[in-house]
Amino acid sequence: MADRVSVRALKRGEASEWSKFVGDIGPKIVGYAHRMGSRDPDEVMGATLEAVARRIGEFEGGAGDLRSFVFSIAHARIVDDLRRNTRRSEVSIENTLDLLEADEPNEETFSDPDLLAALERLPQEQHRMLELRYVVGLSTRETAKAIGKSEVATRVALSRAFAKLKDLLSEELRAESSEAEVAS
Amino acid sequence: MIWPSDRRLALRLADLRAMEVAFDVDQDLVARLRSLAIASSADPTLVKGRWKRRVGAAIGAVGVFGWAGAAAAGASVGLVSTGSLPDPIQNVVADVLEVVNIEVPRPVSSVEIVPEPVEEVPVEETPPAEPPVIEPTPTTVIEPDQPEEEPVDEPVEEPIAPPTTTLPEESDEGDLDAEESPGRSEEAPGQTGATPGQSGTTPGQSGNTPAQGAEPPGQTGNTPGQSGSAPGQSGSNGQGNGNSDNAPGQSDSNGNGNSDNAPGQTDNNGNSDNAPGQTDNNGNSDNAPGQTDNNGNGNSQGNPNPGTPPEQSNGNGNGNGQSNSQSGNNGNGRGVAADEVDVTPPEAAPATEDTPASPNRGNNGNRGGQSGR
Repeated sequence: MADRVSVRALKRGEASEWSKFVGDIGPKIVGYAHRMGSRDPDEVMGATLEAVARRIGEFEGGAGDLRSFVFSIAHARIVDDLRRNTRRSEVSIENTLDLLEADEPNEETFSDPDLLAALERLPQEQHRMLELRYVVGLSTRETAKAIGKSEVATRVALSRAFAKLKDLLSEELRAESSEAEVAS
Repeated sequence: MIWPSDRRLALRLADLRAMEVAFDVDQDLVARLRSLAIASSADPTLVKGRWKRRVGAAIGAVGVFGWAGAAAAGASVGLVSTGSLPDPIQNVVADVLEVVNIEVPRPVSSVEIVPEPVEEVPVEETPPAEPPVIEPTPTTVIEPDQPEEEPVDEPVEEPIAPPTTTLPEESDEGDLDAEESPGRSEEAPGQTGATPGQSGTTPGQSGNTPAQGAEPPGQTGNTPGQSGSAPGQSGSNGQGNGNSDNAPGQSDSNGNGNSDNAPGQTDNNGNSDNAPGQTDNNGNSDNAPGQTDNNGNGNSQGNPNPGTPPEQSNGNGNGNGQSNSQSGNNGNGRGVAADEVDVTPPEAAPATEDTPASPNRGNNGNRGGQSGR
């Protein structure tokens, strides 16, 4: 867990701490990037960790603050990746096949397709906050730091996002039930 | 149908973590991150804090020369305000700052000292009846007889007369007169010109300017060519420097010197104590009765010519003249009455005759035209 990571040891460049930190935070960054729609989550993860290592000397805080710091960087990288992909007009066939294969749904990646679909329908800001707060597991304060808002505003925004997600899931559930009634 | 509750929805969101596949940590990535972290942590150890960096940047932006200039300017302002700079610089800075109405102390020496106007004493014309008495005694005849460099030892060994020395015989009355009217001669004690004692072209006048010996006591010295000479003796030097001891009959014409003259000598030095019968052309002197005190900046040489009658004087402006006069041109001294000088015993002439080879002894300083012809 990132809680056990010593920020001071990371600043000193201890190899064991960095191995533990990468093994703990790396998969979270990849999953977060994947769920946020990044085409290359591994690249986002590598770029995020590199940026963290470059700025670890200026960082002041504990492990929780470090997680907020990491995901704020990760989000910036994800946004850059999404913008880069949207501007990419020409894609080679091989890359396109790789992307299609990577986006191919499977049971491990998309275990809850309804939920993921509902998240996709949320605005990106609400999607991001819900990801950080419930999926990544940051606290409200850490989430607020990661998105650059106050804790109160983040709490209110999380509440609205959560209600919005419930509405979306309810609509889907209502639509499915109505379809089932029609089919029956 | 189960409607999603908040808790159930939260759990479903948390279950999405299962999508996160653990992966083996790449050691190359870890090593690269380590090096980046060490490099990143090195800089903050040197300069900690945002303010420190900002202050350092501000100081660095000014630059070494900037700070040096500021320090120099501050130091200069401090020195100027306290008047500690050298006088010329302080004066210049004060002049510059005065333009912008900033007053800084000026050096004390820069305060202009307004010279007091010298009172011009009208020259009294010498009556033309006197010139036939004058017999020219060219110095060319005298000087070879008495080379200047030749030392005379006799007067040196003679006891120096104290300033309060009084003439034993002839100057008893003169002593009283001298104290009553110090530094004047004849009509006006200490005066020369119309009275005997003038030197120059005009008998009794000195220099080109007729001897202005009739100055009030204490005001000579500014008028060149004044001379006051006892019979057969004269000497008024301007700005020469020398110390001499003159033999009897010699003239000492040193401007700023100290000399002790033997009786019958003329002392034209700055400070001297003259023996009785001597002529003192000094600034400050105490003359014995019967002495003539000729102070000033004139140069004159004593004329040992015994044939020169008394009451003749040859004075120069800034040169060296010869005078044979009995006049007192005193600056700040106490002279004796000119009448006493007039009555100066002719021993002065024999005194010069005793040392005919050194009539112009002690004529240090600026030699000018000779007069006293």
